[in-house]
Amino acid sequence: MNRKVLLIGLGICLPVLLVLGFGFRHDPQIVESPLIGQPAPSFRLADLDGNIVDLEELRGTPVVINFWATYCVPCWVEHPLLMEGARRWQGDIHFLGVIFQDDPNLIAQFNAENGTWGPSLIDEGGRVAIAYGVYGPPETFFIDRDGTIVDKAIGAVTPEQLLDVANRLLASPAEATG
Amino acid sequence: MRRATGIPAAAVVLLGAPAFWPASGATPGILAALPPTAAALAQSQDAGPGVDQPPAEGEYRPGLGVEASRELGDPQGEPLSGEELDRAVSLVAADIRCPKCQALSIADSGASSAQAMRAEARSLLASGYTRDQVVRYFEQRYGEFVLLEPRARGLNLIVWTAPAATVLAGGLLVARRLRRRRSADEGLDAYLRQVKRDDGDDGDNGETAT
Repeated sequence: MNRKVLLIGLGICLPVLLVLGFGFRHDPQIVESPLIGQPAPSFRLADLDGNIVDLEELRGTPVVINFWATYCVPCWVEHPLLMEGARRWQGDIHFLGVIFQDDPNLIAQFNAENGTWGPSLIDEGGRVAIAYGVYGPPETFFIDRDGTIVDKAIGAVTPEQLLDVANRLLASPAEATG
Repeated sequence: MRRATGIPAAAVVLLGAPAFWPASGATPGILAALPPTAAALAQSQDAGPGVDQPPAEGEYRPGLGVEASRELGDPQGEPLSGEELDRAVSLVAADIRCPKCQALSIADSGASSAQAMRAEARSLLASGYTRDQVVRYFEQRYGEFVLLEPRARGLNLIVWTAPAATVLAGGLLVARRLRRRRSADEGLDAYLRQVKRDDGDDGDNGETAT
């Protein structure tokens, strides 16, 4: 009888422990993007000055797209890093900011106070954020010369992350297109 | 009152400054002292590919945003409108998880992300995309996590089969217990009958004996 109770107890506890063991090794906030390795959704957006940026036309140069907002503290933290990145790889990598559910006036004010690392694009209706499956700012997508999303950062980008992906983006040549 | 947008030094202290942060005076104020970046970028953007000149005031510039149709292909249904569209939006919205909420559908959430997704669903359904196409569109962007009801495949099968398996196992356990109890009761009844019979016999004898 005792052995039976022990077996039943193990039968119940082991699967629960396995599920917990698997769950605790994963950050529930991080959901793998199904877009990695897929073509980046094309968009045409206006920046704060009304200039239109068409992602299609940037093909041939790696692009870093950062979804951000002024109410997002990690966005403040990564701001100087993106500034430095945009300066370091100027002309080699395009840095684009997409405003995530924020007031363009506040973005303009923030940029005036802290500087900018790229155009701040107005995503009316949040359709571009939906097309990129953005859960919340900041999220950064790294797009290679062929327009394929090669990586994604959730939360503030770290210098190691930026350096690593930028080197990969710059090292990969564009695929020859027919 | 004006809302401050600058980076508070407290936040930097709390969250730590990135390694690229300028060494001299790691405060937000130093960012404004790096004009070459902004100026050079602005210059490169003006001259760079993919950047048009600003529109004239009041000029309508269509085609901004993203073309979901490029990701979805051709619509496979009929364009919906009116109450039919409202119903279809409600059905789709009930199946899609709000990405910023805890286990809430975009139909039930008031979050701005949920509102944007409902609007996108409405726009797609009004363009003739079917419910399946719209759900697939969200799934392709956000992953299977966005589905409130996970698909019955792979590891998800555990989620689908575990409740039924648990109920079945519980039912079997209860049935087994009941059967045991019944057989025990039957055994007890037989024993009591036997005792009664014996007692009856003895009782008769006993009564006469006493």
